[in-house]
Amino acid sequence: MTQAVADVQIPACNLLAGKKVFITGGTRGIGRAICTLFAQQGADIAFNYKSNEQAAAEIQTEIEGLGRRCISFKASVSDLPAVRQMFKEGAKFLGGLDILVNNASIKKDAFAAMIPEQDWVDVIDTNLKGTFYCCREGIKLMLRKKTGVIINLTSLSGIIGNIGQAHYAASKGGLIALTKTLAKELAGKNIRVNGIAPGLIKTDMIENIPEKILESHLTALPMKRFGESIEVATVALFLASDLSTYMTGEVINVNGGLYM
Amino acid sequence: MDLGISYAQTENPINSVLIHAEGTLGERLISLLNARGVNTLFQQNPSKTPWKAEEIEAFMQKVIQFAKQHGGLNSFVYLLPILPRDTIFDTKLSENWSLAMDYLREAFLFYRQATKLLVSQRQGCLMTVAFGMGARGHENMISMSVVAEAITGMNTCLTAEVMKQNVRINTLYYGLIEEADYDPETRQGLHHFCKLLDIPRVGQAEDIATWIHLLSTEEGSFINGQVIKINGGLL
Repeated sequence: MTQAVADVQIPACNLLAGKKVFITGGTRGIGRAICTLFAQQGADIAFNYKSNEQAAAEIQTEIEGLGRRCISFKASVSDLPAVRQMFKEGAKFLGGLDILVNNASIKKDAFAAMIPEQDWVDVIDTNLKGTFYCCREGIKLMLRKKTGVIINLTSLSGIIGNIGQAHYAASKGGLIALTKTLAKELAGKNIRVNGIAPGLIKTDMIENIPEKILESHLTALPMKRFGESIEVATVALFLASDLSTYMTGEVINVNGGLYM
Repeated sequence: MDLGISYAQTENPINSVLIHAEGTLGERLISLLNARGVNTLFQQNPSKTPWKAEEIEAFMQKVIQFAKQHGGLNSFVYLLPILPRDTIFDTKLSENWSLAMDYLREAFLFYRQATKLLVSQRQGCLMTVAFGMGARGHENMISMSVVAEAITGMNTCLTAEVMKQNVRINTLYYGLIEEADYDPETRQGLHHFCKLLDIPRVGQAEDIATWIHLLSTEEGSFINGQVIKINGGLL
């Protein structure tokens, strides 16, 4: 299978100069791209990861190499006490919180009739409950400063569904409702809440999809290529920065035209 | 937990299962569906607590029996209960959120079993009927909004998975309905809200029953994977 590759060059414009950012799921794919891009744009970063210590250390070194401050936490977003602790320590390290990016997510694809209850619980706990826990802790910190931005990474699957992803789509559909509800509740507090729904992006989330199915997706894609993580990160940058100060409650599709 | 079967007094009735048919709306739907020629196996849970996995398993055995006795099942309807109001600042939010997640798991466990049954028959429609605030978000109903939209997300996947087996999945989002189990505050202001929002009238259980009936029959057999809003035009 061959496909075109995106050539993305982002100028360092310091769009996030001095901003304090927390990113969940920072060591892989889209989360990793957001960590790096936001640091290039002048933000100090706190991020968490579930298991990959080596990747976490690499990212931390990369961010510090850009002259930004960085701290990482090995913790699951579905573990409420751990979430509370990392937000407390993260805010102390950063000196507050301006931007929260909820990216941490897992998938365990199977036909709905075959999904074991434990898999259902794991996916919902990480993707939906975990995001909710992080939002709640993040909002408490943002309310102190009377300003803030939350970006939730949802999915095309939560909008149009996908075979074998009933639990994943439920979690992402729920996230869209959470995004819109929080946007309404927090608009008066000067906190903006938006979502991004990526389509097929070249990350390990699509690694296990059989080649034949990927090819059929590619045929259906108007842009005839899969997206790069950086192409989602740039949309997150737009939503996090002052370029989007009148936007809240939106879910932006980033999918090469798949859902038109 | 109350279980029951309510029979239609017509020839060639069709068969439907109603989950969470408690409260005025549930009762009314049962009688309206009977009047339209639908036999209903219903479950009511006045304590308003989600079912445990083993209870669902046991109930689904009764559903299979019901389907066998009556020549198949035409529809399986899950009525998502209305959860209490809450906001992100609410002290009761954690409690409500846990309840919402339990209902979400309950819906999944029911759907997993129900789709197996409908697929084995190679026909039928699975429906979710929910107070539809999720698509737009609702600032006073965070848990309710999330669980309704999460079920809709799940339904879109199920549609793609079972459409080839002639099984359909649809979602009915209702708005302000006279018989729905709202909190006292909403109930008191129901007619006022409708005027305020320029909705021509308060909805009735009849408006929902019409759709359940249509989707349970051959006439509705080309409607699949839809989110149908029964709300008088509430934007």
